Amino acid sequence: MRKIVTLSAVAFLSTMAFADADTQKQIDELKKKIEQLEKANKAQDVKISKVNAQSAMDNIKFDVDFRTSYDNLRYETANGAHYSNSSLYSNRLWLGMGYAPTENMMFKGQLSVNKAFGANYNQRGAGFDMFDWVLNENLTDDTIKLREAYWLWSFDTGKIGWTVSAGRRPATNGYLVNLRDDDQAKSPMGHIINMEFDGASAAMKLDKYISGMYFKLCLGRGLTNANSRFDNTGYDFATDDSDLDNTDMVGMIFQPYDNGQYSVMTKWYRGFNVPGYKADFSGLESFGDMDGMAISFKTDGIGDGINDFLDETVLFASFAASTTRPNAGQPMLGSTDDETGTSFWVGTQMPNLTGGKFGLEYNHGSKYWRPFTYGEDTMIGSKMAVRGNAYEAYWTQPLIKDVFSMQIRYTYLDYDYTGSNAFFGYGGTPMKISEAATPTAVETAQDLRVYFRYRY
Amino acid sequence: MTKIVKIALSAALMLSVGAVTASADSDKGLKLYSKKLKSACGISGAAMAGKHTQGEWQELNKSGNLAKEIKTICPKAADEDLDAKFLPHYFDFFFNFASDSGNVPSC
Repeated sequence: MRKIVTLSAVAFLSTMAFADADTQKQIDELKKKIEQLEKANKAQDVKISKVNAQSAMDNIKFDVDFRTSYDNLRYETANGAHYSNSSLYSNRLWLGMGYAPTENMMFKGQLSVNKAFGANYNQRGAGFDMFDWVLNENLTDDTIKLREAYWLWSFDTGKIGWTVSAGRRPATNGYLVNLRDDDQAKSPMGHIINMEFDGASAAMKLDKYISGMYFKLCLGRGLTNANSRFDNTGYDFATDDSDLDNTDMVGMIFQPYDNGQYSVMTKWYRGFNVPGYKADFSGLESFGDMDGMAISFKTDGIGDGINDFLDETVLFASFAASTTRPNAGQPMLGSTDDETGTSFWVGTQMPNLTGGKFGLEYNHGSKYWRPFTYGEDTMIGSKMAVRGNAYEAYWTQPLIKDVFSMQIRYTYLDYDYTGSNAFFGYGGTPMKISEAATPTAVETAQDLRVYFRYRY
Repeated sequence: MTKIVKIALSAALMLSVGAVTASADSDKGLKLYSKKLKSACGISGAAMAGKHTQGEWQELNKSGNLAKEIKTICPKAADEDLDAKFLPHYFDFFFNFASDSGNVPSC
């Protein structure tokens, strides 16, 4: 019996040994195959990546930003009358595009439609609806318009980086105002510039020396007085001395420091031959030059790593001033003297339990305060331009990843003086609301907005 | 004004008690990069994202080697700036502006 058992065990073990050798061989072969497949896969990845890059180089990349908004507006005049709209709906489409065939040269553009729900009769397109400075910020019609289009060339000389750019440059949704607009900050400072411009810029980046430091020279043309095509005179596109002068702007942005958490930004500009209404309001004429400056501070996170709430809380403060430089005999903002207005602005943006952001802002402007913020995205008029007090609270909430979001925003403007949103001539004359020649001057304005926004 | 404001403010204040990060976000990734890594890396966010293709960033993220790779490119990066909670945002940003993405960063 023992013999049989021993023989069986030997037979079993030798079979196992053969089986083990066979299995090992199979495993080795499989390993080899997997390695080959991995190699092939990597080669395919490289190929796909090359195809992607090639395709990207050959094509303009588009992105979509589509927003549907509801606004509830209410105005109260000095004599206590009320004007309102409790159901203003609108659609805004931004079709962005970008193309960078080389590392140093890129093109960016943005087409836009901004339209109220519904047809209208003789309301859209009237007044300043179609004015070029605010063309894509106003509610107009369903035609596609150009909001941005520019080329940007970047290069380095040693440790200094340079960019040069020209076209219809991004001049809205700038630094700090981008927080409530839930956009990335564009070139200008939102406290003093927020309108569309054709122009050019050149920047010198010194961030290899001091974190975030750069200078940027900005040039813009706000109005052209070139004759129209087939002009009666025959001097097509020649300058027309009987019309408004060219309105040009030169500005300098200087960011002394930005380490991603703490940043300081400054700007100075001069607008030449700025327009305004004549004394009898019969039309526009050029009145003189307008200077402006601002300095803004922002901290993006309080402390470092204390907790998530403080890490993601933003605080900012900004001060700005504007000064008129009227031509002889042409009072700007109703005065023949150089008049200076000032404004300060403070705000915060905090994260909340729902993964969204909650913000509070306050700004105050003095009697002669006059920024270039006509294109600000506030239905009741630019809050930054207020000669008085402006209060704002908003809640921005992502709903589906970073693709679909919503915002609820409430803006309240309390004017001390008239002319806050006017041009630079008589229309901008500040009169105490209580003493205003016209009792229909707007004393307070409020806007409750809810929007849903798709971006991809 | 008062009624609407009170309701809006109360709702917003109730919600802003603490911070929760809902999902990965490319914009947030850029912001975090500027804040935590830019000086250590010495290059712009676009240049950093352009160090790899989308496939490569994806592979690094999937294999759990994203932090290691950032550290390789930016040896000066502090460990706390490579905390796991930041990585999904870094990844989203790097992926969006990878060398073969064709996406053009803002200037």
